[in-house]
Amino acid sequence: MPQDPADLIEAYYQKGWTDGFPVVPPSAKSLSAMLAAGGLQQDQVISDIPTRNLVITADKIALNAVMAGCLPEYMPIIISAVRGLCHPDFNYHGMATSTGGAALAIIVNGPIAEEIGINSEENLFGPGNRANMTIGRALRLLMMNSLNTKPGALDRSTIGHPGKISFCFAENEKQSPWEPFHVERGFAREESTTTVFATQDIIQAYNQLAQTPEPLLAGLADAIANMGSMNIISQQDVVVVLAGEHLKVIIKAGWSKEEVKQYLFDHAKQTVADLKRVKRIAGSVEPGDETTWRHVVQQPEDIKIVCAGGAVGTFSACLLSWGGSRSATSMVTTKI
Amino acid sequence: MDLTLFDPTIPVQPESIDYAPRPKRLNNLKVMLVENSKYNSKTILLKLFQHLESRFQMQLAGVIRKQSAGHAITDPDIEACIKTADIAIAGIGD
Repeated sequence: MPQDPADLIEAYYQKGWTDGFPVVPPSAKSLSAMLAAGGLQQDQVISDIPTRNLVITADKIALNAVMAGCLPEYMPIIISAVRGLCHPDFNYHGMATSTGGAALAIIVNGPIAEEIGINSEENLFGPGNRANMTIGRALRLLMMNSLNTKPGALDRSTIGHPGKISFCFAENEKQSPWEPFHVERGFAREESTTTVFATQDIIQAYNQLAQTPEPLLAGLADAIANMGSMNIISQQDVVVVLAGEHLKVIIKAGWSKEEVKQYLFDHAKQTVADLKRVKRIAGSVEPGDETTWRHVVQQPEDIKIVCAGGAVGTFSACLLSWGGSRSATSMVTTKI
Repeated sequence: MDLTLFDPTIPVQPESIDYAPRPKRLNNLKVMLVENSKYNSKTILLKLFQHLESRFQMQLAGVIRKQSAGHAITDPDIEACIKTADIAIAGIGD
């Protein structure tokens, strides 16, 4: 049995129970604190994944949360996200196993985000914030250690991306001129939620000169509708994170969220002819293909707007969906 | 200091599934094709069926399309296979 903390950390490496970074070795005390923060019993069943014949108990979630470096007060968020990823509509087995290498994005809404300090502002996708980094990491460690989603085994990502290590952020509801994302999805403003979303691509879209919504959103639409994305064929949901000075341009013009979605929908498209030329659609170019458009989603409502990011800077982000067809996965919002 | 290793894994409960009995002969069987929604899955399955049809006089009972490659076949679709077909051929993978 290891006697030195460094040896203990190494022992977790030897067992294959890390994501490549060192984990925090759990103790009976830290495990107990994590369970207590969630109001959970050790063997309490939280959810299951029938396609993998797995039943997920609270102690396994708590262990991975401790190992990820979470504080106990993060546990309710983690439990909510686990319930989301186990929802049949999310199709865990597909997103977790696919060669597409999707990240599990966790979007947190409601009062809890501010209470526990989830970053919704500058560098929210980047390093530096414990809640963002460790909550996302806890979910990925759970996927790897407990849900058999090991690279080379049931994680067959051709490339993968760094968002697979950890990807959790909150909406900046104070910055938003519109109703929060979770309210749009049927929850009360005072409720807290997680939304899990299998995202294939993260694109930072830059525009320093646009002073009105139209050119700004046209650039974002072009980023969304790139011909290499899965989205242009699958037409699944897209998340657009409007940040900083981009959001100010839209607020100044007085646009509603629906107007933003409609404009993005109208412009995020490719012709069938172009998609055939690059072999994203099979067959030769036929008469009419030059003027037949394929939109990146099926309807404006499929574009989800989240307000977050630093107040300064002319960047926004587009999170495209994983999935080869529209029915492959759906984002799931769960009350905390 | 507590130096116990805590195991975060969940043991997978192995599930035993018996193979369906193999047909004694291939002639005149009714075939259900189960395509997984991947590009060319249906095309390849139909091509395969054409060979079976010409060689063993098999008949096509139908083609089932799964919700996505990552989804399991549904119980109603399994029932349809049992009711209308002697054998099923599934497309898997990419």
